[in-house]
Amino acid sequence: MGEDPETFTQQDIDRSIAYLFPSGLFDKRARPLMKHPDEIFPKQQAVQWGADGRPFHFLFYTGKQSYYSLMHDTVAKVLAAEKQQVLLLSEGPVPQDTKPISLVGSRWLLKEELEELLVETISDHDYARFIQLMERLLSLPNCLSEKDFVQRYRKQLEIQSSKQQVAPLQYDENGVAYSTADGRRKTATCTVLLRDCGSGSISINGRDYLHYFPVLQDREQLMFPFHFLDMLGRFDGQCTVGGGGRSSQAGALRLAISRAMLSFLSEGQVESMRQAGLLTPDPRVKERKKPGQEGARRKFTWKKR
Amino acid sequence: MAASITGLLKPWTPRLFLVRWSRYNPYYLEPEPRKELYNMPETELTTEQKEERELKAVRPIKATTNSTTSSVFNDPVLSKFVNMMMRDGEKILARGILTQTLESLKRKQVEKYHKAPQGKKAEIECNPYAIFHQALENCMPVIGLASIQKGGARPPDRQPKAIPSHEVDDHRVSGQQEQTHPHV
Repeated sequence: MGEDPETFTQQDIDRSIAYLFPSGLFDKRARPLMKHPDEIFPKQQAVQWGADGRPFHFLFYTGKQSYYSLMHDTVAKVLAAEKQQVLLLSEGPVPQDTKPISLVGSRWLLKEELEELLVETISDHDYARFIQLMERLLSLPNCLSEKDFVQRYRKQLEIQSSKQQVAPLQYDENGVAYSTADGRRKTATCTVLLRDCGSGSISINGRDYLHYFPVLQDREQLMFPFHFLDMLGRFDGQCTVGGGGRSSQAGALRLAISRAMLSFLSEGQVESMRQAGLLTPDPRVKERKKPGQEGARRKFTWKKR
Repeated sequence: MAASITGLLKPWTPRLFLVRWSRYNPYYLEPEPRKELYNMPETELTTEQKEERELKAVRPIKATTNSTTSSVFNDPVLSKFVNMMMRDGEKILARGILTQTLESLKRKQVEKYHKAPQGKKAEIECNPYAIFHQALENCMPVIGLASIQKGGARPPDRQPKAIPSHEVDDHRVSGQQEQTHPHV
């Protein structure tokens, strides 16, 4: 590097570090990327027999001791719940107060996740039997006491609306709030600038929306996000759109308007918009033509000979 | 099933190309565009609706089609009818025909209404949407058929018998079971 190693002071060292590692040695992004320790040292089962050679677990000789012991415990719980149900019925018909365990926000562990938990390999058949047994346990009315046991084998699903990225609101020179967003549908792309405190006028590529979309269906699509949130006359829109046909341009504009409005809304409203289908980009595109067929689906005329 | 859920959220092509497949992963749920349902407070919901809401909170939702809006004038039955009338993708023409039909219905009914004597005025239905729905209900079949697979190499004979609804019992007719589908 042209430096004299004899007269290399601490200052030179600092200078060279600043040159070689511009972000510094202690920046978070300069940290070395290492694999998770579980990937380097995978979980292994501890030695399962004592000094005398006798295994600790009574199900060791099944080969899959954790899996079979799990099934054993679950069956014990099922039998206990059934016994309790019989006892309750013999005392007299009791009204159903016990609510079943809520399963909506979670899913069963996948086979790979269960294998990770048990530190054992299990077959697809074993996994299916396990799920079957757990479903049977859940079908019994007295299963509320086994809630913790069941939750251990269920994974919580994350709430979808938390994945929505809402851009912060921007303000122009007059203090009026505005936001921009993009939208796409098939091959049409568009950008929308929504301004608050407006009168509900929308201009597309410099023209009024009534002139640009002579068809009612397209104008209904433009109105949809505003009408859904009861904000019909509140915003002014400036849009540019290109590509695609009239229907796909309208769809792209609808998506862009919905995205632009997100910054003005509360979380509950964002979630209702998502459930109304306004925030999902439509993935449907023209299907390709296949060889040996006339179109995407249409086959050539069948000739008997 | 994929180990990660993120793979399910992208535009999806199935591994095996079945005849009827959609660009959406089957994990996606249908959207609900009517806005009144979102303004209902918690107390008015039944348990099923609450469960449905919880399910919708964790699942991705499909995009609404171009012919659906949250407007009061949007009718799923009418949209379906327009799509069935449509040929070569000419939705504008099909929708125009339907609108003109409804308009002419209204005109005729209003004419009848004005010409009718005072006592009979209340019986004349002027709402074309109500007439359309009633007409559709009148045309609906009373009995539907559901074929049941039985363990046999021969396909079952399909001979629907028009049994009037009050006489329907669980008859087994050469391998096929008839079930009433009361029109709702």
